[in-house]
Amino acid sequence: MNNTNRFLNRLLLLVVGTVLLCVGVGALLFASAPQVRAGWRPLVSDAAAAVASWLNATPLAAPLATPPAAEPSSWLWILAVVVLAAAVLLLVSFMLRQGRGRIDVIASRQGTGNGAIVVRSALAEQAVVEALSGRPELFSSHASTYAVRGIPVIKVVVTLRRGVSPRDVFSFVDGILQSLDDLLGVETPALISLSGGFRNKA
Amino acid sequence: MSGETIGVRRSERQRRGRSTQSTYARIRRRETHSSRSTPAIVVASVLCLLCVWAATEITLALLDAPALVASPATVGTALTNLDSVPSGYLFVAGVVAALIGGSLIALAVSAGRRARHLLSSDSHAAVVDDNVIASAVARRAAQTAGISPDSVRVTVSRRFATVRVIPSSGTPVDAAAVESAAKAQLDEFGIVPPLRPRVRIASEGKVGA
Repeated sequence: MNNTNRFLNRLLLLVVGTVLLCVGVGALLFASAPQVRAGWRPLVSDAAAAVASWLNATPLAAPLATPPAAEPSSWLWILAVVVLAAAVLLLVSFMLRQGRGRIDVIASRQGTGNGAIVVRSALAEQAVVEALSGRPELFSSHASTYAVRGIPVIKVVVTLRRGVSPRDVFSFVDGILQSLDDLLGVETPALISLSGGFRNKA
Repeated sequence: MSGETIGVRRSERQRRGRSTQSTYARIRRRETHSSRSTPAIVVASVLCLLCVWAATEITLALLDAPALVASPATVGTALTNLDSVPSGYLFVAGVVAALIGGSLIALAVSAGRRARHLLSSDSHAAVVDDNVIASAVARRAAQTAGISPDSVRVTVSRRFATVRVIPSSGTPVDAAAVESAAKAQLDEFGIVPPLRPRVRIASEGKVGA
């Protein structure tokens, strides 16, 4: 129900997985096929020469170290640090964006004058949980509100006792949500999650 | 009534019917499949650490300070001398990397269905844990067979609810009755994708109650 970008999660796994697989297969080939090993030296020395020429072509004007190093370093390194820092920021923001999406307001209406009526989701959540408390079929209940494509949706999670019929509980919770809709005058989509919980002995 | 309203107004339900249905379709899909958040966060953290380490090493090298683990020059030299690394190490490293890479690819492309089913409904979306269905079926099966609930174990897979009965010695169990009771119960629940019951009576019973 939350905002997690699942496509991005799977894309990251796919890209990193493919890179690792290629590296692994490459290492296996290296270990087993002598032609690969023989071909490594020329390849690497070409690459090393290319990298060395890039570094020499981009000298740093002012030396960074004190006392200054023997030969001038390259600003390509500074660019590399900047790129790495940007990657770190992207990854951290990617991690922090997992699981967001809860909202505070379930309905609001602009008045004819200067006022507005705002119904906080806490009202709906607490009303639902209150109506469900004390039911013998339920161990516990919990409600939260999410924005799904901009539409507020209530999620009601109920923990059923062992052996209770999910259809009966669903009908009952459905009825409570209907009453909530009648009370608020707006029809809020809802998800009812019937869970077994960790302990579900009667 | 003037002004904007957040939330679907009852009178607009017909008009908004299609978008509510697509909202529910999205919810149903997301609630029954894994988000892959945990592996993604693990992978992202490892990448983060690697980037931080690499940036630190480069900065230390620029400042002509001693390296933490390995300076860029050391890494470059090690790569150049890769062909002198014993093939045993490379083989092991290759296998480990390939296995991890393969697992990540599998995680990325597989469906990741959670142990849940949907309840068919016109009004709201409903998702049920499989163990809830299993314990309800087990209770009805135990009642039908006239045995204690501890002697019944139910496993719910995507399309089947398998009822395993361990009979007590001397008491025969009517498998057909149990199966038809379970079928009636599952049909009444209205589960999507539909569950069909299968009954297995253990060949060895329990002594006593």
